Amino acid sequence: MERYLVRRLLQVIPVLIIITMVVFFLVNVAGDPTVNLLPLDATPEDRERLREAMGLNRPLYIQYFDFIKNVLRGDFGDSYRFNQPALDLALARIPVSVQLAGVSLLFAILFAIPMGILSAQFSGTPFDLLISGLSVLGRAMPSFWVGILLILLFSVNLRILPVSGSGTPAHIILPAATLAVQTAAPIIPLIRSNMLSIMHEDYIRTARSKGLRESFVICIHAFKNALVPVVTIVALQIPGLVGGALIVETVFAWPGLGQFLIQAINNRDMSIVQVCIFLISIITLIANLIADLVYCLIDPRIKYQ
Amino acid sequence: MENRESLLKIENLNVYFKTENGRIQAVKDVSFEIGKGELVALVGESGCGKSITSLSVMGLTPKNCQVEAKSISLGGRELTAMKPDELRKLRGKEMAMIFQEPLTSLNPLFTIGYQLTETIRIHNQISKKEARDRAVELLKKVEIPRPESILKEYPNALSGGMRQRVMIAIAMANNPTLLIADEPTTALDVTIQAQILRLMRQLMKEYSASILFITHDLGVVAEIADRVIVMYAGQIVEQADVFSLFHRPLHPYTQGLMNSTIKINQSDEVLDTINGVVPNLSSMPEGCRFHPRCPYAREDCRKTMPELSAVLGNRYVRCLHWEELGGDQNG
Amino acid sequence: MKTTVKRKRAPRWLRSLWRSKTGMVGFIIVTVVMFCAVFAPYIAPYDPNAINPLYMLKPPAFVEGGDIQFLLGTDNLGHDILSRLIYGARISMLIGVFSVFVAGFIGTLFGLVAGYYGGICDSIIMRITDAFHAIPRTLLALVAVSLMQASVTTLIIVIGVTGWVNYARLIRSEVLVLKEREFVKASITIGTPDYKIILKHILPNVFSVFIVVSTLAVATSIIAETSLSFLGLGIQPPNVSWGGMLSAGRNYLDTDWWVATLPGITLTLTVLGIMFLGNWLRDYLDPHNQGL
Repeated sequence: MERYLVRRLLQVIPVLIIITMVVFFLVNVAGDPTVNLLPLDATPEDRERLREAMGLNRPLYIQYFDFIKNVLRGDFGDSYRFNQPALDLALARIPVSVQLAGVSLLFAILFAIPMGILSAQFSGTPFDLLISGLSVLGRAMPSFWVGILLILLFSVNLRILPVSGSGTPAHIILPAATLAVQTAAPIIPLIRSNMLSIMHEDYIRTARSKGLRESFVICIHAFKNALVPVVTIVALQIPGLVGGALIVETVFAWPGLGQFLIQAINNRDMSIVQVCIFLISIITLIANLIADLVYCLIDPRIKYQ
Repeated sequence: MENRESLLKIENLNVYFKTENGRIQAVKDVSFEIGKGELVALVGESGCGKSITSLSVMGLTPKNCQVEAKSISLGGRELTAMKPDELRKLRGKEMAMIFQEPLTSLNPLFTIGYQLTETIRIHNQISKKEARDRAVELLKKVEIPRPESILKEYPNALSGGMRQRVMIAIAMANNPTLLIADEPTTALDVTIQAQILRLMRQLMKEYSASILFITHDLGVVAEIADRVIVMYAGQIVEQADVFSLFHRPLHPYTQGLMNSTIKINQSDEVLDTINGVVPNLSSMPEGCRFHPRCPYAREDCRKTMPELSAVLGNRYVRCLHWEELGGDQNG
Repeated sequence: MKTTVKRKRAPRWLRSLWRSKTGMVGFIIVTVVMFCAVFAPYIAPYDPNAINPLYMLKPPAFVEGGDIQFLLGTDNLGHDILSRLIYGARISMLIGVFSVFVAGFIGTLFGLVAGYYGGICDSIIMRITDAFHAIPRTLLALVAVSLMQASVTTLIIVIGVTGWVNYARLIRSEVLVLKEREFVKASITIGTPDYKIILKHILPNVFSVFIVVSTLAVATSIIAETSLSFLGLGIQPPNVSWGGMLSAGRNYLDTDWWVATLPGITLTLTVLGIMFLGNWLRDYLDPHNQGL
C-alpha cells in the first residue's frame, strides 16, 4: 500500500509541471498581460515599451522558467487591483471555500448513503422510483439552476433562508445544499446498484448464517463493500464539484475562492487568476490523493495487487 | 444401525420459487431426521433441491422462496413456529453453516479476527479481549498456524484451504449442535479436501455435534457419512446407512450416480454417465420423476409417482420396481 | 387458410427505442430541440431581440394576466420568451454538438496514441490527461473565454479543448483491450503498417464507445456553455443563450418567476433528453445486448 501511495505521489510531480505550463501559456499566449496595465488610449508604441520593460518580448521558454522560479518561491506577482501579493489574497479565501465544501459534502453523504441503501432495500417500490427519478433530475440540472430553484423555494416563497451572502449559519445552507445535489445525484444510483448486487454475495449469506441482525448485515457487511466504487467515483467527480463551487459561490455571493476568481477574471487581474487556477488544481490533486488513501484504507485487496 | 436420539427432524418440507411464470416447486415433501452426533450426507446433482433444503432449515432462503413445512424441529424446538428474530438468535449458535466457496464466503473487507470475534460476541456477552482469546483458541482447533497474526489478516492473504478452516472456525465458534456443510470441499484440491474432511470429523466428535453434509461427490460420502439421503428433482429417492447404500444401491438413480463416480483402480474404463439432464423444475414429468432418464423405466413408471417406502428394515426407496432392479452389480 | 401479408418491419433500432420508454422520451425531446435549433427563424413567433416596452414582464398565457400573444410571457425588456428559448436551442445545440467534435477529435487521437503505442507516449499523455483532469473544466474554460473574444466559435473551441479528457481515457482503455485481441495481434505479426491497423481494426471497434461518450458529452457541453453564459462570459448579445436568460431572470425571482424558470426547465429537459438517449444508445450498442 505504501508503495502504491508513493507511486501516486510521484505521479503528481509531472502533473504539477504540466499545470504550471497550462497556467502560464493560457495567460501569456491566449491573452495579453499588458491589457489592464495601460490606459485605454495608450498607443501601440507605449504598449511595446511596456512589453519590453516587463520582459514580455523575451523567448517564451525563458519567461516560463522565470515564472517557475517565482512560483517555487511562492511569488505569483501582485494583484494590480489590490496591490498585494496574489498568493496571500487567494490563500485568505481558501478557508471560506473549504467550509462550504465541507458542509456540502456532509449534506451529500448524509443524504446519499441512506437514500442509496433504502432504495436498494425497497427496489421496485414507488419510493425507489422517486429516489431514482430525483437523482436523474439532479444530474440533468446545472448547479446554477439548482441554486436558483432553491432560492425560489426557500427564500422567495417560504422566506425561511437568506438569498445570498454569508455570516450566519443559515447563509451556508442553500449554497451547501446546491453543491450537495451535484455530489449526491450520481452517488445514489451507484450505492443502490452496488447494494443490490452485493446482497447476493456469498459473504452476505455467511453474515446472516452467523445470526447477525439484518440491519447490521446491510449497514456493516454490505455497505462497506458498496462504498469502494463510490470512493472512486467521488474522486473522479472532484474537479467537476470544484468547478460547480465556482458558480455556486457566485450565485450565492459566498466570499470564497470561486467568487474571488470570477471577479478577478472580470477585472482581468491575471496574477490572481493564475494563482487561483494553481491553488484549485492543487486542491483537486490533494482531494484525489485523499480519495486514493481512503480507497486503500477501505479495501485491503489493494495491498496484494 | 443404532437408534440415536434425534436432533433435527424435518417433516413434509415443501419449497417453492416465485417467478414471473408462477410458482415452481423446488423441494417436494422432504422428511428426514438427523440423530445426535450423526453425520448425514445429502446427495444429488446440482439443482436437485439439496442446498435449498439446508437453507430452509437455517431460515436463509432467498427472498423469492416460499418455505412450507409441517414441522422442522431442532433439539425439540419447533423452528417453523418461531419469529424471524428468534430464529436469527439460533443461527450461529445452535446451528451453523459452512459454504462451498471459501474464496467468496468471507467478507473481503474485514479481518479474519473481526469476522471470527463478531460471531462470538453476538451470542455471548463477553469482552473484546475474551472474544479474541476464544478466536485464537478456535484457530488453533482448526489447525491454523500462527493464529495471532492470522487474526489481523484479510481473507485475500489466505489460501482456499485456510479460508475454509476459518469458515469452520466461525461455524464452530459457539459449539453448535447442528453444522450444515454445503459442499465444503468441492472447491478445494484433493489433498486439502482430505484434510478438511478429517478435521470436520474430528471437531464433530470433540464438540459432539451433528453434521448435515451436502455434496454431489459419492467418494466424499463414502469417506465421511454415517447415513446417506439421495435427492433427485426435489424429492428424496433413497435413504440408507452408508454401508448398505454402497453395498446395494436400490434406486436406479443412486446406481447411476455410483457408476458415474470414477473408481481409481478402474481408470481405463469408460465413465458411465446418466443419460439426459435433470428435468426443469417448471415442467416435471408425470409419474416417477426419474423415468425419462431411467434405463429400466416401464409403462407404469410414466403414470404412477412412487412413494418413498420403507424397505429392508432401515432403508427407504422411491421406486416402483426396486425389488427387481435392486442392483447387485455392486455387490 | 393462411395468408402471408408481408408487412415491412420497423428497423431494429426503432423497435429497440420503442421498447425503451426513457429512450423514446429522450429521442422525442432531442428531435424537438434539434428541429427548433435548425428551423428557429421559421418557427419563432418573434425576433428574439425585439424589444417591446409595452409588454414587459408579461406572464405566460396560461397564467392569470398572461397574453395569448406571448405564449410563455416576456422578460424585463419585453422579449418574447418562447422565441428566445427557440433561438437558445440553436446556440446550445450548435455549441454542444460542434464542441464535442473538437473534444472527440483531440481525445480520440490522444487515446489512440497512448493506448496503441504505450510506453513513454502513454505516460506523457496520461500525465497531461491527469493535469487537465485536475483543473476543473469550467475554470479552464472561463479563463480561456475571458482572455479571447467571446464568440460562438471561441466557445466551441474552448469547450471542446477542455472536454477531451474523458475521450482520451475511455478510448485508451478500449484500445488496450483491442490490442490483445487475436485479429490485431495477427496483423501486427504479419507486419501491417500501424496506420492501417488503426484505421481497419482499432477505429471501427472503438466507434460504439465513441458514439455513446459523444452523446453524453453533448449534454455536459451544453451545461458548460450555459454556465459560462450564466456568468456573463459566454454567449454575448445579440445571440441568445439559456444560461444568459437564466442569469437575467435571477433579478426577478420574487415577482416574475417565469423569466428564470422557463429557460431552466428547457435546459433541464434538453439535458435529460440527451442523457436518456445516450443511455439507450449505450444499451443498444452494447455487444452483450445484441440479441435484443
